[in-house]
Amino acid sequence: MIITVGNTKGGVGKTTIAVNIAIARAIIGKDVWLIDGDRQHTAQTAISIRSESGVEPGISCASYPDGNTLRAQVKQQVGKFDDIIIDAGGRDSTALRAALVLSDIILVPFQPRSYDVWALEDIASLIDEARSVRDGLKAYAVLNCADPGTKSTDNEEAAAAVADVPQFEYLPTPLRRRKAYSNAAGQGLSVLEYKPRDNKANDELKALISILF
Amino acid sequence: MSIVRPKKNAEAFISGAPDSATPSERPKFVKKGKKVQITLTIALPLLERVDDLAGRLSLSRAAVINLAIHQGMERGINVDGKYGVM
Repeated sequence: MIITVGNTKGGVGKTTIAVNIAIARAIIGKDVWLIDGDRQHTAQTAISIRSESGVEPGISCASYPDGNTLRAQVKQQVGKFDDIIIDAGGRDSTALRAALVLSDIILVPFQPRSYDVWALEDIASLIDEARSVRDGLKAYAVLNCADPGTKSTDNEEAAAAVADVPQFEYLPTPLRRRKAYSNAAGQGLSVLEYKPRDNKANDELKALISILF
Repeated sequence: MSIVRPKKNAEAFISGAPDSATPSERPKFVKKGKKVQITLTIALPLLERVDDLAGRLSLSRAAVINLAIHQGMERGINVDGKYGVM
């Protein structure tokens, strides 16, 4: 399975989610390859920190900000891994486009804020273009940094706004704004590994992954 | 009758991204209004002579460099005995 966590808008939590998914899959024994398609190399840095700390399981991670290189490498290596997780975007880029050509699923995180909702149109048009060159690309939108509590009006409105962008299927498995995500990410960890354990964050991540795989 | 949609090319899609140009394909200047801005490396003694001339002629450094280039293009320049003119 190849999953891209991507959005043309930056700051939506792509890297945090990509790292969390990759580690969660590795924990259950999958051969995982995390690809950092962002020129800021944040995912690569997080995995380097993880590696230097000696945390197991180790995660294979490569950085391919150039789309043609990313595409060539993934096509060559795809048979060697159970899961390939690509962190791409922050802007329209060759890496994001290559990822859209290769992936089974594009997971688009967005926050329950106006700017994020407006930006869904941008990535949606890119998904349309990708679908014109290939078949079978599933596109899911998921709330990240959702407001705490189950009765947030902003969360509900943001979720409803996805219905206006027919390219996406909305996943009812939001990740809420919790310190555990950012604290874990800074140490190259998934929330599943982070101590003190945040049970709610654990449940949210597991719910998201259960839909994706 | 089934509708067949023509397939576009994946390479064309990928290279359509704003960051697709390789460094050699990118223009080696930045647009600044009607002119363009370039990067020029110059020896310090030559720059001091340019600045000295600019001071005596009450011109800016950029004006002297542009005039020198312009006049050199009109009159031609000598490189190792080879004479070139625009």
